[in-house]
Amino acid sequence: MTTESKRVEDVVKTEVPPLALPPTTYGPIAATTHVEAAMGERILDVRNFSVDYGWGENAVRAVDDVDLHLDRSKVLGIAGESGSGKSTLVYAITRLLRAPGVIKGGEARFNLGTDDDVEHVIDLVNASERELRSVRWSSISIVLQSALSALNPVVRVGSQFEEVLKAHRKDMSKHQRRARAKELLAMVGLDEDRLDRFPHELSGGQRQRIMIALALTLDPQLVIMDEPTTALDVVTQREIIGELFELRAQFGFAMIFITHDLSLLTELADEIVVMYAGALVERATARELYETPRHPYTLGLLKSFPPMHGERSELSGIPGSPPDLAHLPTGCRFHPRCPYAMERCTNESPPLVEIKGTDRSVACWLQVGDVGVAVPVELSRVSSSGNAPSGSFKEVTP
Amino acid sequence: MTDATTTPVQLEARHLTRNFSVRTPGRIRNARHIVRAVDDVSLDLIAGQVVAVVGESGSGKSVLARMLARIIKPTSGDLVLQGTTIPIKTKRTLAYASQVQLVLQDPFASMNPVHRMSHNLLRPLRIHGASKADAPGLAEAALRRVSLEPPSRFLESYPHELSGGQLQRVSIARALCIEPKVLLADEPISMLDVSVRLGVLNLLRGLCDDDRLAILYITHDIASARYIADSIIVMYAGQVVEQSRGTSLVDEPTHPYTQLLIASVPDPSDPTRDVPPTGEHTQIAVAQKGCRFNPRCPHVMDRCRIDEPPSFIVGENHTSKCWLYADHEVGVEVALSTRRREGETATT
Amino acid sequence: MKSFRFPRSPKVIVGIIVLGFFVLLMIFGPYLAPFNPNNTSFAPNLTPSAHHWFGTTSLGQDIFSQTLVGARATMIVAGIAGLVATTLSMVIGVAAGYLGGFTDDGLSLMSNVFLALPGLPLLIVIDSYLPVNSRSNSLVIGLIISLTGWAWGARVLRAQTMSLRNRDFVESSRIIGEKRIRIMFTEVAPNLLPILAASLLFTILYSIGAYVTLAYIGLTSTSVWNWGTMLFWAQANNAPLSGEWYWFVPPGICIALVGTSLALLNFGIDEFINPRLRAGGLSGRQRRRLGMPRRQRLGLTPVVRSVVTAPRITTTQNPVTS
Repeated sequence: MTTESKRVEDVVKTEVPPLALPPTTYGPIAATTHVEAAMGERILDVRNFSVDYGWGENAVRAVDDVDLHLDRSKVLGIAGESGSGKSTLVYAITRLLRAPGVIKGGEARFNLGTDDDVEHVIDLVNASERELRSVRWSSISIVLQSALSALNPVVRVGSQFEEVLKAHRKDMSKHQRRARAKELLAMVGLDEDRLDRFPHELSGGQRQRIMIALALTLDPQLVIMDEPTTALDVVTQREIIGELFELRAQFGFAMIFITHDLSLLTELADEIVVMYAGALVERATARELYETPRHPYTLGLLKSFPPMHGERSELSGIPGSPPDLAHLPTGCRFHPRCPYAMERCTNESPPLVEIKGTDRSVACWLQVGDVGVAVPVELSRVSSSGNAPSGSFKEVTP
Repeated sequence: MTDATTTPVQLEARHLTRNFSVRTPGRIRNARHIVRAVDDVSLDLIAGQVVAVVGESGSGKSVLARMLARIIKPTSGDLVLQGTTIPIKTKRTLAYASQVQLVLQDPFASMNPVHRMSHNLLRPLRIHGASKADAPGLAEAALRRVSLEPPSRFLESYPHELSGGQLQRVSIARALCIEPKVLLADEPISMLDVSVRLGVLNLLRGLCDDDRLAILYITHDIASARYIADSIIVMYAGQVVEQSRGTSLVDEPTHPYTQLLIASVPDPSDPTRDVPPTGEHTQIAVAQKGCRFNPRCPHVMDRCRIDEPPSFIVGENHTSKCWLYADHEVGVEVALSTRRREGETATT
Repeated sequence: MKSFRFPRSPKVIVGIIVLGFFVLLMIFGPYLAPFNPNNTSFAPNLTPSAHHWFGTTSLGQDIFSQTLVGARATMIVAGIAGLVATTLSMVIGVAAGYLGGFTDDGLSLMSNVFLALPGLPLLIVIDSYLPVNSRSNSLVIGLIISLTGWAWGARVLRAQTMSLRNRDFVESSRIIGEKRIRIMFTEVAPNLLPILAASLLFTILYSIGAYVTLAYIGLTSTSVWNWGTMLFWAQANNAPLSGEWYWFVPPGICIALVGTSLALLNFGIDEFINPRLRAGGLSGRQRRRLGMPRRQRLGLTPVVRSVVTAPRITTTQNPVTS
């Protein structure tokens, strides 16, 4: 689809135009007189969000007290391994999480936009089914991981578009719907004839493009992508991500990109949050995270990707494996695998704190103290007193 | 015939080809055409060395592994195990299985959910001649070799009690129980958690260095191939398009597909690099005539659409199957759009 | 094996209790019967009373005793038939599914033939060729019934085996050099246990029906008491028309109860195989107390917490600058 060479940076980080409020087909949302702080540029505001699997004593905490913030047209990356809770978090926010998932606490507010100086915000956690349906797909849409299982295998691709449009835009005629489906396929670089095929007749890359086109059908403000390219080879992944970002430049939607591939996120996200065993351990801009990771887990993850250039030397990854959520370690959940663990880490779980003077947060006892210091590659062991003296690390030079 | 214990070349594949006959769906009833899943692939597996085969799904790499393990019969070609040519149309013998073993991709699916790990380790030992008395001790030794301590705890476990990384190590231990000379690994780490992958890669490298195994490492991830391989082969549509000793083809990729592959890999250390154009976005990714990569190649010439190129030598122990190098003696330099910036050395 | 969790579903518990009751009846029935079922010394056509709990037949036999004694033959024949049929279906199904090729073609052809043949007429034909003294032999009747009942299970097991055959752990066994027969019995068969159990229950259910039908038609020996024979005599003496409901209702209800309990147990096995179907261990009252909706609804993840926060939609009067 691209016929000229593009720089990765150019494609990913283009400026985007502002958005208009989408039309609602379920009628206007009733306004109350309760006044809250304006969300402004913020499109998604999640605070203290917790999700359990199961009930009673068998309940397992899959997401523990997580905060997330996303501004209009920005890209938020959520990185984590299995058991980190990244998918659970996002599905719970959109109330799509299946049994036995239960939301145990927190709030999630979504900013639909401003209309005549009145800001419309929906509280996703407390919303009724009708309200959820009014925002689902028209304001928030999801691209699922495995397109083969997400698309109905006995229905032609064109019909899947039909269903979406029929449900949300009742005023469109059949001809208009077909035209819109064609337009969407053209946007992702597919021919109109794909509309008459069944999902199993298409390649993995084409199916994923169809999923993206479906997600963009109603021009949403937020597109959530759950490991969209994990099952694809690296060349198709690059193509699809390139197209995705061109679409974003055109339409201005915000994105949440969930993946285990941290190196991919550092290229395409504005901000990255790293999750481990249900908790958020670090939040920073992509560049900051890559150059100066503050949490040992982030550092370990970054070192788990063998480099493409330079001397070949032995890397170690992270010893051990992600914990069983039903039997989390005491104190900091990462401490059994952490090369910098101190005694304090065994007993107390570090809170997520903002590093003063920056817009970053990290949950690590190493960062307690007045000066947040980057965890360098070569590190001298921290003193066992538990406090990180500001001068005991070598500063890393980027 | 050379002595099996002294020859370094454990397993040699010569011009292996595998065709599948496929019925195309659609209007023409029962139309069959031949899919060349693996087309004329030759490689040597040498004791103490890792050969990496890199390719996307559909490149034929898994079929190649299974042909080398002899669980799929090649359509044509030769297999030479420790100097002895194996007739390819015969059934696989137990003796062959004792020399060549295969580890599969999905650690969870590779273990029977109803059996403990001890079953998975004792069975290969008993099949290949260990006595009932010796087998448990040998099983524990195998688990120690893959760093699963204490072995007794893992022997008693069921698959659902272990993590992906641990299961994959047991899978490798199962293969090692038999004491093969050749270990084939079909994407052993792609289904594991990121933080666990390097551990298993280091294990494979260690087995190669310490125990002089010949290892074939199949992957779609060229970065991991670069990390452990002594030589790398890049496959596309069943053919070897580029191969080199060491990491030459990653540092200086010559074939347009390899260049595309390397440029597509996420590389946060170099975000301003150029992403090469991917050519026309056609439905047909593999051409039937000429060079198979021609629909997607940014440097495609008329010749590429007609004749299939042979492998040209482009450097020391480095070949490339591309018409761009037909005049390699003249030293034609093609504009490689992913060529690293001037002045940067390879050791930065 | 995974640790066995006692089923919490009420359906399964009811099934286990009812079936257990009838198994006890099968074992102890003849000893508990107050009278000999053949004894015709009582007054005929008595309605249920304290002396004769289920009344008496036209010939003056105690129906209650007949029911108790009849349990044994009915359940034993059904059990034998079920076991034999399931074993046959396992051997044939697994062999066909795993070995493939001509073996599969031949065995599948055979199963399809047996499936297509109408079971009951075939049973009648075979039975009518039996020497009369064999008809009282439970084992022989059971074997005949199993001949007509194995084909369905064989097809299911074949399909399941074919899908298991391509699984990685089976391929791994092949790679290490395991012999085919050993793979079939030690790797593939144990994974078929849930389906085998369900097949067994279903086959027993079928066998009860077949046996009762044979007896009702009069093809089994009337010297062996079973529920089907009771129905035979009831029909022969016009019991339905003359309002003697106490003659055919007890055996009918017993047959129905045994069948229902087997079906309920089958539900339990389905839930065991597919954890998503499990009741999840919470009753309606518990859910309400937790604040959760009565039923899980797709697309509406439940929220459970003690304090409800801000109202659903908020608006702010402050002008928003972009």
